[in-house]
Amino acid sequence: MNKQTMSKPIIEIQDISKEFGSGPNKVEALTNVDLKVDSGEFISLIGPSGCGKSTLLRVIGDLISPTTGSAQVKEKSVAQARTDRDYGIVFQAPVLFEWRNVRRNIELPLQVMGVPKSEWTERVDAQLELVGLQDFDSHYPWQLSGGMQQRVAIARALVFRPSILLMDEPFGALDEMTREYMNLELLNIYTRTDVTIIFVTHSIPEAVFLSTRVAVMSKRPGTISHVVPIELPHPRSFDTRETSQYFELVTEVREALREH
Amino acid sequence: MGNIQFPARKQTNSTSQLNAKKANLASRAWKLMRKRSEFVLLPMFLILVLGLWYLIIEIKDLPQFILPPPESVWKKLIQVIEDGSLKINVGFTMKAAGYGFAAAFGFAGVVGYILGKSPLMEKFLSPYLVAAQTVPLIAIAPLLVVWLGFGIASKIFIAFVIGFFPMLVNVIVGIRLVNEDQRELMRSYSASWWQLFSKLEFPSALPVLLGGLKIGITMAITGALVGEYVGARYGLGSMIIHAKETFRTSEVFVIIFTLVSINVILYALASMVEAILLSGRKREESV
Ligand SMILES: Nc1ncnc2c1ncn2[C@@H]1O[C@H](COP(=O)(O)OP(=O)(O)OP(=O)(O)O)[C@@H](O)[C@H]1O
Ligand SMILES: [Mg+2]
Repeated sequence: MNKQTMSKPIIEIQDISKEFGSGPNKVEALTNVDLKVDSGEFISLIGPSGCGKSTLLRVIGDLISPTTGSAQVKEKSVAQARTDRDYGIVFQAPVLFEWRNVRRNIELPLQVMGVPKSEWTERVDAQLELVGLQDFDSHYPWQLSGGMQQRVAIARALVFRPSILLMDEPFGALDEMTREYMNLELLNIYTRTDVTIIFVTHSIPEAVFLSTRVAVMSKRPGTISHVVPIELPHPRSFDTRETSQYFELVTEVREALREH
Repeated sequence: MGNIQFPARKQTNSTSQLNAKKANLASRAWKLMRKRSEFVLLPMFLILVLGLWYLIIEIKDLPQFILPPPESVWKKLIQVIEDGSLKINVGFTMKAAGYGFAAAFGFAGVVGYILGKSPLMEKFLSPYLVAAQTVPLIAIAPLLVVWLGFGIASKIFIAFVIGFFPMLVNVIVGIRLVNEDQRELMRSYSASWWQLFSKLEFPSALPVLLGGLKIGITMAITGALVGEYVGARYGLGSMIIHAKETFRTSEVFVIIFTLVSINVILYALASMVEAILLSGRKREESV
């Protein structure tokens, strides 16, 4: 299945750099980052800890602004894209509102974005089912395990149907079984919708299994050193992980990472 | 993923289980005692105080105007209730404290929000706020009464000033403690100023805010009393002064008990409101 139909890239990043602080405390988090993402792609960012993956994601999401360079989304500024609510974001931590129960947490973006109230229940129910938390809608975050909290965060990011999903190690806190299940679910969501996903991970197998391309980042100052296209056919399943093509790609990404 | 269920309570009707039931009752009483210890400890404490009170009068043979016996305090209480003087004075003090508290709450809310959001403003204003806080209010209270009169205005003002600072500090702390990631999440939704405030900042700061509220209520009452001590026709503070000057010590006791009761009741009410507003949250920050 080839979802790349639009000719213009949906995300276009040109020569971005980002510095934090100044003087002796200056940290160069990103240098010369270029990235073009076509609509409907699934890009994984992989690289050593502290190489600027989260920073790059936050630049795309207009949560911080780059020191130099330009970032455009759908041929408009990232700021405009944020105002247009093009982004769904899943952070490394669940970031739930502790005074809201699960249902009301997932309702939050609908509420803020002014989605008619009559649609809330149906939409939230669909997300709850997707992440397997139907029985927990009235629980509060502190009553859930870390993995369950993260699934609530994913449901919350999907509920308003953003065109771009920015995910920062969303499954890092999950156990291996849940993680594999969530991988399949994410692929499921990805193939059923035309969402474009930027996905930060530390796991090479996960990156290969999910992505259409894996962007390998080098150590600080972070930049994209290799881009490995993943031509595994869709739909992918557990069996995909046993093909020789899959193993070759995992090796390729691993070697790209090792070069630094 | 199953439901979380409590184990069903086993029902037994056999008479041989009666003892077990009694034991169960005892253990429940014990549980109540541990959970709501004030129901048991408070009466015990009162009995102890009364006992000591009689003992001191007995041993020291004190005259009425130094330490009146409990029954004359009781008689006085009935009297000031019946002649309506307690009601008028409680009303006056509560009115002054109430207005002062409301003003302090509103003002601390607005100023605290601005200072909490803008470190620059805080840097600029905090020297003045600290300076204002160090002014001994008791010392300038007479001046305030001269300026604002013997009426309720001067009392409201003093209650306001005393209640303002603890609440201001709590509002600032509450706004500062809002989680940065949660702010970013709201930012990613392009939330408006009002949405950010009503959906994140306010609920997030609420526990700290309520803590400030509890302190503020008590402080406002103290403020009103200070104003009344300095000069007033009505209010519990002026009532104490008059009673003391005419050696009606039992009346002083009545007023002290009244004040303690008011504070306890208000504190309990505030705690109840707190419990309702914070229901569902993990209870860790409540004091
Ligand atoms: N707000 C900030 N202020 C100062 N320095 C920052 C800030 N955010 C990130 N950095 C620095 O920028 C660099 C990149 O951080 P970033 O969080 O993007 O790394 P990462 O690749 O996501 O790492 P990890 O895999 O551990 O999450 C780090 O050296 C970090 O110390
Ligand atoms: Mg990171």
